[in-house]
Amino acid sequence: MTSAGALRLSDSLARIEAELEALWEPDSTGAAKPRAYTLNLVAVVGLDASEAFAGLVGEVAARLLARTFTVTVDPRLAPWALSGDVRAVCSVGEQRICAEQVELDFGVMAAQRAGSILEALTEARLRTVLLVGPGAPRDVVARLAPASALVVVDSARLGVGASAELAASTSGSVADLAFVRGRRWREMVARLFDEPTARAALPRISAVEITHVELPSGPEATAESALFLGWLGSQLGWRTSSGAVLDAAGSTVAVRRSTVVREDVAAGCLESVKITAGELELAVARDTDAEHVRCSMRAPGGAPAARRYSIPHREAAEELARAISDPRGDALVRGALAFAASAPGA
Amino acid sequence: MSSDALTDNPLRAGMAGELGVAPAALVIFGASGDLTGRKLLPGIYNLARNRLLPSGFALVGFARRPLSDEAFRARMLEQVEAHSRHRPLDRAVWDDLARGMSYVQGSFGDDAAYRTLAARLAELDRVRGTAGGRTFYLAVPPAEVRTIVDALARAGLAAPPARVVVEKPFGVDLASAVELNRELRAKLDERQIFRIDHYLGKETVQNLLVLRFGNTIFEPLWNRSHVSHVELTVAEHIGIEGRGKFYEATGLLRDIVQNHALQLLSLVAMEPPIAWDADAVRDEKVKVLRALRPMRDAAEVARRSVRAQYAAGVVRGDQVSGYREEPDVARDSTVETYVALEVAVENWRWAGVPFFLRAGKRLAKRVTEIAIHFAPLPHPLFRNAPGAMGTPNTLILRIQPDEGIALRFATKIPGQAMALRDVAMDFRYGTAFGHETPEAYERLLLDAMRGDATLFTRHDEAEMQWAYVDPILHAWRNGEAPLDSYTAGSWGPEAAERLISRAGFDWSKP
Repeated sequence: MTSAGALRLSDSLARIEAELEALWEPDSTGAAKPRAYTLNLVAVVGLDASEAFAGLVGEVAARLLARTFTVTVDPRLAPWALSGDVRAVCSVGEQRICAEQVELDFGVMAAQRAGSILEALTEARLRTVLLVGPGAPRDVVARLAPASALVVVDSARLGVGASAELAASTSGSVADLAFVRGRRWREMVARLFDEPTARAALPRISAVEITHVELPSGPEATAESALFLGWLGSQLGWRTSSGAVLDAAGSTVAVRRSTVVREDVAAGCLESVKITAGELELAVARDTDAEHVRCSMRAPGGAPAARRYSIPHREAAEELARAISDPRGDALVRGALAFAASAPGA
Repeated sequence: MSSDALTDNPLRAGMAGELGVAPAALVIFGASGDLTGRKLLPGIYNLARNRLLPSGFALVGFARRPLSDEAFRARMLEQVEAHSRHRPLDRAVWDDLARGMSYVQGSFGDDAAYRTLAARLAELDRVRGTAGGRTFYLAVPPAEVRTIVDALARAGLAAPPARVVVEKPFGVDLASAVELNRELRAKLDERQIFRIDHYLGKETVQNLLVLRFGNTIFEPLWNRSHVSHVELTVAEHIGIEGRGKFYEATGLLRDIVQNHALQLLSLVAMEPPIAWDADAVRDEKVKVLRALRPMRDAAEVARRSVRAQYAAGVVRGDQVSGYREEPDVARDSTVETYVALEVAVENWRWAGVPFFLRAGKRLAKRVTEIAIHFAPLPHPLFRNAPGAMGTPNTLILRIQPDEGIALRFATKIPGQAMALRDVAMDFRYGTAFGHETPEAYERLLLDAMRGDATLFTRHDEAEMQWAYVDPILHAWRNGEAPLDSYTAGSWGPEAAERLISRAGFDWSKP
């Protein structure tokens, strides 16, 4: 542990570097720890949430062989202090592979130099992923984002508007965990429109009804529902005007949001999506058991054709690893965030 | 609807489902066979689980054995539960898949059965939304292929966009492969024919092309100026697994070398294709096969090839019997279970670089790998340094198991003295990417259904492969090359050691 309160940040940095070096020295038998990393993962998180967040970051780091830096700002430290805690985290599989995990606590003034400190500590040849955790100080995020190849937000925590702003100010790629959570819903809806008759009706969507599981705070729109609409709108060339959603031809698309109370599904998650396209009614709705959905399409005068699919719950670490690993989707996320932030009720 | 129509769906943009296929029915001939149960159905289930099948999908099993739809589904469920890489079974995925599964009983030449099949497919178009898309998977012995394709044509089911997947072996020699191609192409357009070699569906085989043509550092070294020789190993520790009849009629040269091993060799030796599309890639592979120097006479076959059979031995701690003691194998069988070849690729890039290829059953371990051995140092600067072996650099491409890439090079041992040691820089897919790799059949089924033939064998490619092995088969059949023996659990016969040592090299021990 490096002591807090050092006046010169470079002294603190040198101590952290020395600890990192010592970490890889061979043990008394001369055996070295095998180390490998595929990326730098910089997680910025609020002080209160840092402990709870560390587990998630550690799990993802082990999955992806990431060299991890957890960054917090602690007002209790001297303003120019930098405290560092360094350890090796080893995955025990067929082969034991280790990677560094570094916790950096900045004083409020030192935090302004977080970019410079991380520049020195990260492996420059590897891509740096910035994970914006709960309560992350925005000024620190803003300083670190430009040097990051990928910024991962969770708009359910950060807010759709703030996430859209951050995405707009970042030249690297952007991933959104709330968007990752909605992936299966988007896939189900997209598949419904593979059907030739549905495909033909796609430009004639006149109404969208999105239902989500109510938040404890009330029936306001959630990031998941906003991003679903954002995805649909941005992919279909819709726009917003005076509180209304207009399709590519300028016709109004009626958007309705509703909520249900459901205890077996996390608050905020999608419950159903119903789309009216021409004379067709298409729907994806969660089944009585939370891990399945029914996809259906009804044509005028016909019985609805329905299929049931599984939509299993994914652990947060899996979602995060997926968001970091999947190189596709940046344009989708940016489009969805921008549309969602401008849509009525966002 | 064609696969291209999927790209018209803007909601598909950026999704894994871009790999998805247009609505289609998949008809499996030989539906009661081992391949269907062990590979095809688990593969289809895994695709369904990953939502890579189209929303309009149906599966029809076709075989001689009388089975009800229900019995067929139950049988397939058992196989999926036993062989899928995803367990436990996701009941919702299976139930949805099973609702679209049915069975047609009939012999492969029976027109009445094909009329039943045609009616079933028309019904599925209405009920399951398969929209006229058809892929016929021929999981049958080569002799049945033409019978089925003829019957499909008579039933009006062979017209485009129908696709036909043909399992290996594609013929039994050059003449039969040419004849089979001629007959298939009389009924089908080449773009409808998908000759499957499941090795090409393996992630690491595909990655061989990415390593070569997606990086800048390897290709400048990938030629006769820098490579001394190439080793290609396809080793299995298992024996013939009860397939005595099949092996007696086939042998390892036809079973492994003619297809898998020559595919790998083509991928290692090919020139960069002008594009990542089916014809551009296969054009380059065919050029390699055309550049293989044929073994012109029996003397050359005897000099540049080794064939052998395993004798009793110990494999992975277990005592196993010899090939001739296996069920359904003749006690005086001369069928080979091991092959080693010295292959010459006569073109600008590879002239003078020998490719040593070995494949066998009941070897010490299961491993498929390609070792690119680079040229020795022009001047041994550190020859007096302790540990300086002067061992040239080697790039090892491990196909299975533990898929990965390793580069061996010399380093200085830290200290005051100049002492050297060889080390390996080792990259493992499992470690770097961590997630499960799809089975080869999953990728190939999907590609066939969406009409992408890049990872399938073209007619001229199959013929050129046979053209290379035919003279070897001919000489062996005439007893013009000796049949050696090797102990099960070893790395092959002494003769194979002599084959490579004549060129001044040794086989690697993977």
